[in-house]
Amino acid sequence: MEKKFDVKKFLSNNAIIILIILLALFTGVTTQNFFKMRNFSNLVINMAPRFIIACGVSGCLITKGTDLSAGRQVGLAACFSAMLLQSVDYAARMFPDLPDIPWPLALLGVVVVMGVFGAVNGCVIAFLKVPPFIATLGMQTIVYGMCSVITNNQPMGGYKQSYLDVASGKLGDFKAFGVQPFIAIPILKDIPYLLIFALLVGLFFWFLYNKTRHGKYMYAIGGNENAAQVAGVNVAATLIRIYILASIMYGLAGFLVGAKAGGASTATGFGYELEAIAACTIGGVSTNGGVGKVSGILVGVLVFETLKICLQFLGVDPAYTYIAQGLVIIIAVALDLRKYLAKK
Amino acid sequence: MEQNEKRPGEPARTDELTSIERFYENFRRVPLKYLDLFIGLCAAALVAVVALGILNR
Repeated sequence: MEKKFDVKKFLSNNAIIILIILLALFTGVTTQNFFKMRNFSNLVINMAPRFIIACGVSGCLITKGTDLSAGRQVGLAACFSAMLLQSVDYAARMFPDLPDIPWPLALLGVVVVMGVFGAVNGCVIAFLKVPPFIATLGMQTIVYGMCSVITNNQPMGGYKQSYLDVASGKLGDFKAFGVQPFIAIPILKDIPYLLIFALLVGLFFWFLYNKTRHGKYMYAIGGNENAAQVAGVNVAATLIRIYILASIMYGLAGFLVGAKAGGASTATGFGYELEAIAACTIGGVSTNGGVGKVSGILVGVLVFETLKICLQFLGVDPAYTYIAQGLVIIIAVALDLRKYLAKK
Repeated sequence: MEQNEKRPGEPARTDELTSIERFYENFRRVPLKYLDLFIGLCAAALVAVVALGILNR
C-alpha cells in the first residue's frame, strides 16, 4: 500500500525552512539584486566558515553535549593567524623578528594549538564528568582572557597577500608549477576557495559520521551513554576525540574568518557558538543527542544565513534581526522537542 | 523480581538523565496541540517582527 503524504507532518518538520523560503521570495520580489550571482556568491562566502564551525559543534550536540567556547576559540585562532601572517614590511607588526611563514604552515600551527584547547575540554567533560555546558562556558572565558592578553586588546591587520588570497581567491587563480589549470573552465574558475574548504570539511564529516567506527560510537553515546559503555564503546576517548576535532574546526574557521575580514581582534567570533548551535538545531541535530546529519547542518546554516541576508536586503534594523534570529532558534528547539515527545 | 529493577519500556529515572533530557522530560505531560500552538505563535511573532522591521526602516 502506498504511504500517504502527511501535509501536517511535512509542515511541522520543515516549518522554519518554509518560512525562510517565503521570506527569500518576498525579498527577491521587493528588492533589486537579491537573486543575482554576486549575492549568491556572498552567501556562500559567509556560509563557509559558519558551516565549518557548525560541523565541529555537531559532534558535541550529538553526544548530548555542547560547546559554548566555539566563538571565542574562533576569535583566538583568528588572532593567532594574524600574529603569524602579518606582512614582513608592516610597520605595526606584533613580532617584528618573526620570519615570513607560509600560510599552510601557519594554519597547521593554529590548528594544533586549538586542538590542545579541545583536548582540555574533552578531558574535563569525559574524566571529571563536568557538564559540557559548564566546562565549555569556563573555557570560553579562559580563551577570551588569553586572547585579550596576547593581543593587548589591540586589533591586528596588515596581512600578507597570500593569506588574504585564501579568502578572496577563486579556483581560477589557482596556480601549480606556473600553470592555472582551472582558468579555462567557466563553471570552476569562479568557485571561491572558501567553498572548497567548506566542501572538504563537509565530505570529511559525512565520511566520519557515516562510514567510521568513531561515527557509530558517537551516535551510540548520544542515544544512550550507559548502554554504549556496556557495549564496549570507549566513551571517554570518543568524547575527547569529538572535542579535539571540534576545536580543530574552530581553528580552521578562525583562520578563514581572519583572512576574510582582513583583520582580527578579541571581538572576532563573538556569538558564533550560538549561531552554530542554532544552525545545527534548525538542521535537525537534536540537542537531546543521538540524531544529526551533515546535510541537515548545511541546510541549517543556509537557512540562518539566508535569514540574515534577507533582513539586510530589506533594510531591517539589526536589533530586529537579533529578535528574528532568537525566534528562529526558539522555533527550532520547540520543533525538536515536539519530535522527541511525538516519538515517546 | 527485585523492587528497584527496571522493567523494559519503563522511562529512565530522572537522576539518570542529563540536564537537556530532564528539560525535555518536563514537557512529557504537555499535549502536543499546545506545543503546536506555541510553535505557531512563535512563527507568527517571527513574521510580525520582520514586518515591523520593514515598516520601521
